[in-house]
Amino acid sequence: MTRTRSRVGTAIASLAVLSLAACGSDGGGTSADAEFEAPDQVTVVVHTGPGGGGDTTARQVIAMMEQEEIIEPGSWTVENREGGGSAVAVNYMMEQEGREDILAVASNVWLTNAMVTEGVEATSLDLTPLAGLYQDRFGIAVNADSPYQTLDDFIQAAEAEPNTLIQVGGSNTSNDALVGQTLMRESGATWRFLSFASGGERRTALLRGDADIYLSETGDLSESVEAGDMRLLAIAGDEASPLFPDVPTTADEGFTEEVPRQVRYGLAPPGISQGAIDYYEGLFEELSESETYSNFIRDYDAEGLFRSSEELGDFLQVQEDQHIELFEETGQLIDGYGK
Amino acid sequence: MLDTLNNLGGGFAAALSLTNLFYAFLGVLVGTLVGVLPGLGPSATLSILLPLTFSLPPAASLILFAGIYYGAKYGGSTTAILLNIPGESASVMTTLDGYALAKQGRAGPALGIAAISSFVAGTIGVIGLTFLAPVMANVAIQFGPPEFFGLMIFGLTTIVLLGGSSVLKGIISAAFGLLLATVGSDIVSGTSRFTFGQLELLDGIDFVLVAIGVFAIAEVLVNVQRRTTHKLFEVPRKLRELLPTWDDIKRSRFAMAQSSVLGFGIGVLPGAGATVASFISYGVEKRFSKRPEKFGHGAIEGVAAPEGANNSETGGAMVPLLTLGIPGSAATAIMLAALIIYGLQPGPQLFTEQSDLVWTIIASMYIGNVICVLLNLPLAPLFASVLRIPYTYLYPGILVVCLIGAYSLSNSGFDLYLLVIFSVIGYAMRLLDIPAAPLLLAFVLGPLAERALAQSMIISGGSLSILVERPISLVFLVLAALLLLSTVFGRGNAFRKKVLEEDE
Repeated sequence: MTRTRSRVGTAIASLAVLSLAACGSDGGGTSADAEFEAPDQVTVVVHTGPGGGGDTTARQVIAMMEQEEIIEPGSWTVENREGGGSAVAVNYMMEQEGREDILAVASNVWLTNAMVTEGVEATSLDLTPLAGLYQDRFGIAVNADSPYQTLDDFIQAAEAEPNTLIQVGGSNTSNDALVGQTLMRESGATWRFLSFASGGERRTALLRGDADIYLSETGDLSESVEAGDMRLLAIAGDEASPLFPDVPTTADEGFTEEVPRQVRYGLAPPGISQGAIDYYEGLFEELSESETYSNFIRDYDAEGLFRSSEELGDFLQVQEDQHIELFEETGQLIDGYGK
Repeated sequence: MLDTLNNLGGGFAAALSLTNLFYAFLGVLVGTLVGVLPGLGPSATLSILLPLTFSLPPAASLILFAGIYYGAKYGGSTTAILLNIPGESASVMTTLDGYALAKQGRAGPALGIAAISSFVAGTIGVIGLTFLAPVMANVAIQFGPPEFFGLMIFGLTTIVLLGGSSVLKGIISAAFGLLLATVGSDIVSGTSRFTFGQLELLDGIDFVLVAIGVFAIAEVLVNVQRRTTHKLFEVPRKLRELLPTWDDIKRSRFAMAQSSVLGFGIGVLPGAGATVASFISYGVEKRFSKRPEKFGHGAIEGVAAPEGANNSETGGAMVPLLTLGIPGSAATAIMLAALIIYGLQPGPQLFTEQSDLVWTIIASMYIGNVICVLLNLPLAPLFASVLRIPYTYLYPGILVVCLIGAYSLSNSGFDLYLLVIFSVIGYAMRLLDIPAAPLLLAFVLGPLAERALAQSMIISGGSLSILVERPISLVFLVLAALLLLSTVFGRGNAFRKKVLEEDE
């Protein structure tokens, strides 16, 4: 009996070793000076566990690249480096300095985590930008029987009763919270923020009446809107949604200040060669021009905005300033940030 | 109703195809194996297998995933009963009576009753999913933070039923569990608490480390210290004694029935999950038992109840997953990801738009439960003979399994240090006769209760009255109060009787 048990153990251990080996550095790990050779196996680091937002995005991107035959099936594998918001994943990428067979699919938290978490130092800006993939489009939804017909109705109600109405969303440093924050700043109205870990819980909180508005990706909201459970009051930003062309944008409603964006992008460890940057940037660009990708962007109602390595680097700098300002306002910025 | 049966019939026709049967069997087999090993749980396995979704049709991969999910629950009882290792939080209650039975040479019957109860309750859970999904989805929507807080408080009060000899020691243990649960990031503000600048502690302490430390390793240490020369486990030679008797099954009837209902009901509530279901089911079983004193000393129904609830929960958890897109656990979160990768948005429309797929998955769960019990019943005597190994070999083996399990959580050496610390704490608790189960219960439920309370306070603007104004929350709080009072009162009575007897 021990034998069977140990065999099972061995089998699983060898599986683990195999998968580790697969993630290993065959072909990569070259120094920045040596000529770059495209690796056979690439590891894609994400900051969430399996099934989380970052994980799903990375797997979708890989699936599309395989479908478009940009990469060999099975050659890019996801590695979940969960923990500390995104700190574990960022630090892990920092440790891989110079490795050219590993990259990460990142989002805002890679940049903002260090601003709001004591003890977290490295951010997106310390890593090598590869390419910007797309940015999420946010919608502002209410329960189908909500009294608010327009964004202005809601804002006026919130002004009449300061800090009483409730916005439901993710963590209080996430992008939906910050979009709400910019709306509050510009209108002078205030409301509360209610956090839930999963989108499903946020949705049911709105349907139950525990919250008054819900800011989320329009792709997530679309089903509930089509089912008649929710109504959209506005689209965040200045660009209308192709999925809901009749819904006004916050800019239409008089909010001119730029709202923070939730972006998805590729990063590499620091100190990789220009050849490697060009190679990965090229692959992502090829993806961004494909039909599979435009279908994906359409279905998720995202904004398919490709950014080159350089453009992404510049964008991240701008985004840093924007977020520092927002977190200073909310009092969430930690004392030592950037020092 | 007729529609449902029609749909289910169609689902069975599809699920019984050779390919789908194969994936159901494969899923259950893999699930049982990973369930047996602590550390490598179903969610880790599912994440390894998630890339399969690109090469398999949706039905096949979801059948496979669901099979792993409940297969692991069947397997999870094995180490809990045999080695006192709860690989998952839902198996903690199983260790209490399961391991006690194993020590009495009744490991086989304990494993057997776990499989039978899992099958009965698991099937009833799927029946619930089949017929009650739309109704229960509405219940799930109505269950907000205040209601959740009420349920968690009720769950926490079951601690008074767990404390072995002394309620006070149970409370000490629970308080320590609550303290441990505060390590990590504060739920509301995100501020770090008691992390001492360690990034590894930002997300809190992993349950598996605490459970393996205070249960399994502490058990080994205590036995080694006693320099056990006598045989620790009685192991019968006859095959008949390796399976549950009719008497065992009869004793477990009520446990199977109540755990089926409780498991399904609690499974439907987003975020409550199998752990809460198993805790409450054990508590209910003990509270209404005619022989509560047997619990913790090898009551067979003390194995049937938590194991049943744990498996009935699967059917319940599929309700919010399929109808609302709410994953109740890490494993269902991966299934949700698989659905999304296929371009299927779980939600109210999934049942109408993807009717064939949904019903195939549901039908496969009936089949999977049959496969589980057919696979696990014969395995019970086989696994039970592990205990024939002399302890000089068994203990080092257990330690190795524990260390590998702990390390495999996140491939981090830091976790091993934590494991050592919890082993020492567990050992000290054993010497002081402080029960470990309340610690784990509080460790799991504490943060859930805290989060629900914080959310309730945001909704109400800081007024506690929301907790008694919402009817469901009020009901749970009243139940919790009744449970506390009746236990304290009951103890008072017992004490008075004892004094009277001594007087005579």
